Parts: sequence; structure tokens; C-alpha cells
Amino acid sequence: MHRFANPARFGRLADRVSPVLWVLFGLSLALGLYLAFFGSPPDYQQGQSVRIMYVHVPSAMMTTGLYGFMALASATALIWRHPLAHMAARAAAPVGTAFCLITLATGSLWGRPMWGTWWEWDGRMTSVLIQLFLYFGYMAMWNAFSDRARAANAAAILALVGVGNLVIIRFSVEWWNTLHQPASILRAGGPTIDGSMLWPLAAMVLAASAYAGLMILKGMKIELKAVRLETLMENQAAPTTSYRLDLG
Amino acid sequence: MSLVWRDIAVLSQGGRALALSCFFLVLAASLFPFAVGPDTKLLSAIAPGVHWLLALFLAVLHGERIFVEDEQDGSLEQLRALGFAEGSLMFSRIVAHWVIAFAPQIALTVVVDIFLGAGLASAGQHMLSLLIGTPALSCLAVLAAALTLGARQSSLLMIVIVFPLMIPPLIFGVSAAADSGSAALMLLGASSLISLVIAPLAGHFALKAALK
Amino acid sequence: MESLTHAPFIAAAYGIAFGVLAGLALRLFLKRRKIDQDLAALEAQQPRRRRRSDDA
Repeated sequence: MHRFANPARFGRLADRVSPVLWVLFGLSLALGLYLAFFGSPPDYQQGQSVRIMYVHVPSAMMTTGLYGFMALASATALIWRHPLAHMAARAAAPVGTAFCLITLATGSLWGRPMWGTWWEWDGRMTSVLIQLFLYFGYMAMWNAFSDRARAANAAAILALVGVGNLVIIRFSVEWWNTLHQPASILRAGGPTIDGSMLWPLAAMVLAASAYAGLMILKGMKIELKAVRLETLMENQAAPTTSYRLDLG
Repeated sequence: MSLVWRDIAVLSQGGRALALSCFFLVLAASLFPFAVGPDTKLLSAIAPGVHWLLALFLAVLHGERIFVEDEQDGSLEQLRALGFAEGSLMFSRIVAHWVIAFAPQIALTVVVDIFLGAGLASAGQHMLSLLIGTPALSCLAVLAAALTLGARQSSLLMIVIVFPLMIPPLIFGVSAAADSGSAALMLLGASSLISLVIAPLAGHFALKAALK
Repeated sequence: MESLTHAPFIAAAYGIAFGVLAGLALRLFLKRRKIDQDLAALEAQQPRRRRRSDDA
């Protein structure tokens, strides 16, 4: 586990993995876009707008997946005191937030032509919105402390509490939804997936995962540099203050 | 147990904190007729939601200062030195928070319902849902307070992190208050029980880090 | 005909998605550049600062 705790070793590993991810990202994105626009038929019910699904569904999967990743990394950080795990969790948060925003925006744009509404207080959409708030809270936590270790700890606990709560939130929102609108069109409209739609979807999921991986690695490298910068500045600040004290 | 009494005594500030809860409730409840109009039919229809939104705001109102003063004057450190574990510190604060924030609310349910034009029969249902569900809110508020102890703009941060977590109790609580069968009450009770397990546990680690 | 009415929504959905993802990548790039600059500046400053304190 701690083999990768060494920053230099992590940097080498990241440099070796990144090109692979770039190639994977490029290829799967090109393939996914081609299949999404030319290689798959319009849905017989939804027409052309089904093509929004190929960006909406992978984003939704990334939103949930990255929150899970964040919680796993946080647990690793808390249990094994792995310093890089905190950074992995922190780096995943903006990526998850981005995908969460995309899920909400594309869902809204999909809903307008399909169901004539930009927003519906439907179970799934509401859960995604709440997940956005959870991401915001997590990132706010990281930025709220001047002490980095304290921020890391508080954010990690929040991520773990949040992931447990996410399950309850999903359930409660779904329950609340059935209570208020038993025959929602959106709930009935989980589109049945045809084989011709599965391939572009899989390619886009792969592209999104590769993108997320790249951004997390990049974010972690930036975090490592930020830590180095902070320690350098502290070391520099210390002699200055003692020098001033001597003068006084 | 002595810790619980101590926390209640200190945090209630000689009853002033309880009085604050009462004033807040009466004042805030009387704002709703101005906001949505004095139509008692409409007001009594939204009464369950009003009760529960007031409960959420009460929770963060008192949650903000649940650790701050004791951390600043060193009392928390002293209590730890006396051998109280972080988990039991959490638990006693949760009880104290509930007594200060929600005991007044449950006592005043009838008054708020009279303001909102809801009948006395529904007041009983509202009271029951608050009684069963507010422990979950206290748990989450105290946990958020422990996590944000010493943070910049901690009151704003607390609202940002705690309101999303309070959505399940809010959903179940409003349903239970609106009397939609016993399922809502049971789910509400379950979320209170789960919170009573999770909050002291998570708060244990949060306080440990905060008081290092 | 139908595809025409849906086209703006599809374009907007893909536009927003790629815009947000590109924005995030750009933000990370700028952040890294700023940290690299700060690090370089700090390392360049180090010897000069010591000299100044010697003068004093």
C-alpha cells in the first residue's frame, strides 16, 4: 500500500500511466462520437434527441462513481494514513462536480424536447442535485482550514458520512417521489437499451473514465507541488520572523 | 450522565438558549402568514413542512456554537483530560443540543399550529413526528459542528454540509407529520437510530483531529 | 423535420459537456502553471534573500 506513498515514485508511475490514458481517451472518444452520431439509429420514440443519452448517462455514472472513489480514497487515507489517498480524494472532487453539472444540464436539455419540461422533481434528477450539494460541501470543507492535515481529516470524514447518506438520500427521494407523483412520465421513461446503442455508450463511458483518471492524476501532482510550495514558504518565513524579532 | 447535565447546564446559558428557541419559533412561524397570505387553508396544508423547516433552522442555529466556546476556553481539553472519550463528548452534546433546540419546539408545536390554523388533532401528529425525527437533526448538526470546529466562516460551511444530509429526515418527517401512514414514522425512527450510531462514531474521529 | 427541432438541444448538450470538461482541464493547467512559477520564483529568491540579511 505505502509503496506509492513516495511522491517521486508516484510521479514516475503517473508519467507512465498518463500517455496510456490519453491514447485511450482519444480513441474511445472518437469511436464513441462516431457511433453516437452516425453508427446508431434514432430512437423510435425519442427520435434524434436520444443522442444526448450518450453524454448524459456516462456523466451520471461518473458522478456516482467518482463520489464512491472519493469515499474509498478517504477511507484508505483514514485507516492506513496514506498521504496520497487524501490527495486522490481531493483531486476527484472537482471532476465529479463537473460531471454532476453536465448530468444536470444534459438531463435538462434532454427533458425539454422529450417531456416539455426543463426540470422535474423526479427521483433521479433530485438525487443528482443533492449529490452536487454534497460535492460542494466536500470542496468547501477542504478550503475552510488553514491547517492542511485538519482539512484533510474533516473532508475525509465528511466524504464517508456523505457516501452512506447518499444511499439513504437515493432511497428517501425515490420514496418521496412515488408519494407525490405515482405515474411520472420520467420514471416510466428509462429507455430500453438496444444493442446498437450499447456500443457508443460503452465507448463514451470508457472515454469519460479515462478523462477522469487523467484529471485525478494531474490534480494529485498539483497537490504534491502545492504541499512542497507551502513547506518551502514556511521554511522561508521562519528565519524572517526571528530576524525581525532580533531587531526589536 | 453527569457530563450530560453539565453540557445542558452550560449550553443552555441559564435558560437563555431555550428562550431563544421559543422566540425564534414564534417569530418565524408568524412570518409565514405574511409570506404566503393569511389563508388558513393553505397555511394548515403547509404546516408539516413549516414545522420541519423551522426544525432544520433551529438545528443549525444552535449547532453553530455547540463546541466553539468550550474549545476556546479549554473546557473541551479539560474534559478529555478527565478521561471522557470523544464519543461520549459527542453524545452528551447531542442530548444537550436536542434539549435546547427541540424540547422547546415540541412544547410549542400547538402554538405554531394555532398560528397556522391547523387543528389540535393534527398538532398531535406533528408533535409525534418531531419527537421521533429531531434526534436525527441534532446528531447531524453536532457532527457538522465537530467537523467545522476552527474553520473559516464555519457557520456558512456548516449550512452547506449539513442541509443535504438532513434531506432524508426532512422527507420522512414531513410525511409522518402529514399523517401518511406508519411507514413514514418507522423510516423516520430508523434515520434517528442510524444517526445516533453514526454521529458519535464519526464525531469521535472529527473531535480527535480538532483537539489535537 | 423532427431531427431539426432536436438539433439545438443536442448541440447544447454536447457543447456544455465538452465546455465544462475543457474548462476543468484548463483550470488545472493554469493552476499547475501558477504553482510552477511560484516554486521557481521562490527557489530563485532563496540565495538573494540570504545575501540581503547578511548585509543587514
